[in-house]
Amino acid sequence: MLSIHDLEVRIADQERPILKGLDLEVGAGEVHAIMGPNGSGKSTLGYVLAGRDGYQVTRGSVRFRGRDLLAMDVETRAREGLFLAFQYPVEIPGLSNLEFLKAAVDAVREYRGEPPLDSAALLRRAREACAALRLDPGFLKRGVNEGFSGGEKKRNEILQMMLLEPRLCILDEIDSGLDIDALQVVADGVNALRSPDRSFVLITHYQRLLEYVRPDRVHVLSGGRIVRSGGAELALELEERGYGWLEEEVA
Amino acid sequence: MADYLATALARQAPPAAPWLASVRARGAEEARRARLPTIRDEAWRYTSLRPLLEGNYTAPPAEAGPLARWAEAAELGLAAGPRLVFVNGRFCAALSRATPLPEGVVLSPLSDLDEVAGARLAQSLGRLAPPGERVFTALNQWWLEDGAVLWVRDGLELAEPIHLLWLGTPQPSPASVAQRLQVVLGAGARATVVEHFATGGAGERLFTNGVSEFELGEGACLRHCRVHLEGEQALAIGLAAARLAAGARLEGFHAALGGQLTRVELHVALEGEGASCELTGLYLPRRREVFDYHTCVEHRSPNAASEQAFRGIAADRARAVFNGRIHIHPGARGSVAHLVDRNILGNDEAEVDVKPELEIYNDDVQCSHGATVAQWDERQLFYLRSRGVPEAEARVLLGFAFANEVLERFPLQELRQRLRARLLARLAVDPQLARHLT
Repeated sequence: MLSIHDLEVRIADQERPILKGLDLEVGAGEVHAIMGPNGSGKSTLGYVLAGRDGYQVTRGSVRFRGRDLLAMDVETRAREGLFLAFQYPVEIPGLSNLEFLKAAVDAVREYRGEPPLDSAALLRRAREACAALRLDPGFLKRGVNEGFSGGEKKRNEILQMMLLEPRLCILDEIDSGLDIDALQVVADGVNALRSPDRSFVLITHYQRLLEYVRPDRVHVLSGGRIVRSGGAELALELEERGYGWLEEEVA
Repeated sequence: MADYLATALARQAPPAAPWLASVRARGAEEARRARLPTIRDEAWRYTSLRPLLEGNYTAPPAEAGPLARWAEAAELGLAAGPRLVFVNGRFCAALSRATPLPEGVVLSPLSDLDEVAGARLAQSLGRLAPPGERVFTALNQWWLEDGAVLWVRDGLELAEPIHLLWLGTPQPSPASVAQRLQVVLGAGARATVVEHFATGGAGERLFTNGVSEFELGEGACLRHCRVHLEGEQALAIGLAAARLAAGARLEGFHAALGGQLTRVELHVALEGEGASCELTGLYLPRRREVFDYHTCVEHRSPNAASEQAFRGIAADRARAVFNGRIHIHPGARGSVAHLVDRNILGNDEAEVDVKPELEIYNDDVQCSHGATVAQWDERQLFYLRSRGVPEAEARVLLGFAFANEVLERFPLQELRQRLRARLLARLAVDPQLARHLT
């Protein structure tokens, strides 16, 4: 699904790289968690994979479903099936959530050679997704993320994911700012989407999310590199011991 | 070019009722003393009159020909309420719609006024818009043939909106016409007026020189919508002047979505204590169009409030001009005045010129103003693209979102629908790019 080799990335115009030779293999149907202290490069990894401007790849390669991901523009990555759930979803007042979803779903379906969904069919699916995420259907008429609470914003990311049916979901701190109930709803949404041909990368600071969405692999990102990988039990160890011991080990 | 005024003055006006002849004569007199503004005049610094002068827009308009062709352009989708249509400046009964009005309401074209009403109008016309140095206001008076009046007696409320359409038709040679409106609301009266400027078809080389006056009695409330939807060879220069007595309220909604040159000057005098006004506007010039809003809100009494919120997007090689002015007079304690103007520069060749102006002669005020000119928001663009939306469509969605926040505040559902369609046609050169918004 995703194969990252020796990836070095810097923010444009800065000397010091943020990712310094990162390797990661994510197979089809797998759930990987990437954990690490603040400033370790977790969010940068998500942005680079999604294709955000302002990052410069100076070394390495990324293959997504057998193709060179870094050669694709942002929208092509999305249509190929890559989805980044934003840590801070962007507000677009004046554009309704439903209009936004229509445009996105249509673009992705057209690329996949699927017929466009008519408005009624899309609305039905969107309402079902709202119900699953315990969102009021009036939510679809509101401006994109406009005035949404933190929890609503995160659920809106999952809503988009449900409708776009991506192959690889990168969730950047989807658990931050959520109370236990909201976390449960979001996790249920993620679990419902798990399938043999869909993979997940959960970027998180805390082990809490992993109690609800059980990962196949856990990686620790520190200083721009994966410094340790293991099974789900690694997350528990991190919870108990923090990140300090790993940074020392590496040093 | 230099003889524009001479030609404009030499124009022979058709025969008119005595009251109208006297109004015209005053206009001619004022125009002889005035001069055309140039870009060296501060108020015209960013808006050149070249399209008017080089286009030689001097002749009176021609007859419109078969009217059925323009029926569609006359539609604003307003299902109810009276409609007065003026084709090339002259009242057109065939396209208009009369509906019963309560006793105490006069809604009429100038050409239908009797001697008594005409004399009343001659007394008051221009009271809020004295020509002074405004040469176009003077010429408007000199060219005046027709127009509309709406007089509403104290305490009356008009339930339905009044639709006033000024429609231009294609001209054999560039022509100019005067547009005129007077609204007088008695104490406590309420009304909604839609001033709609449009042209039918292409090749409409018409210059519309407009003056609208709004006199609001104590506690009166006027919702005023003014939309410019002209074609690409049409020019419009207009002044809308309002005076509000104590406790009166003006809600103005403005949209410029067409015309080679559209310049609207809004002048609001909050004359009485506690008067208030809210001006909301949207302008989207594209290609080589120039849209210019000049506002001036004067706080002349205590405890008056004003709110101005405008937005614009300039695309292609177009230019948008916004000059927003708040003037607080010495006795106007307790004034509250806010002004916000936000703009998006669609590309490097477009131009936006904004200037907020505050003049405050009083300490006891709450005032703020803000004007911004920005490019597309990169974060929003990335967010849309990261969901698979192509960049060209993402810009259309973002332009729509930005404009729609203002449009959503407009009254009248049908009007919003019509403006939304026009807005989308402007934002999306390829209609496919707006297909998720229709």
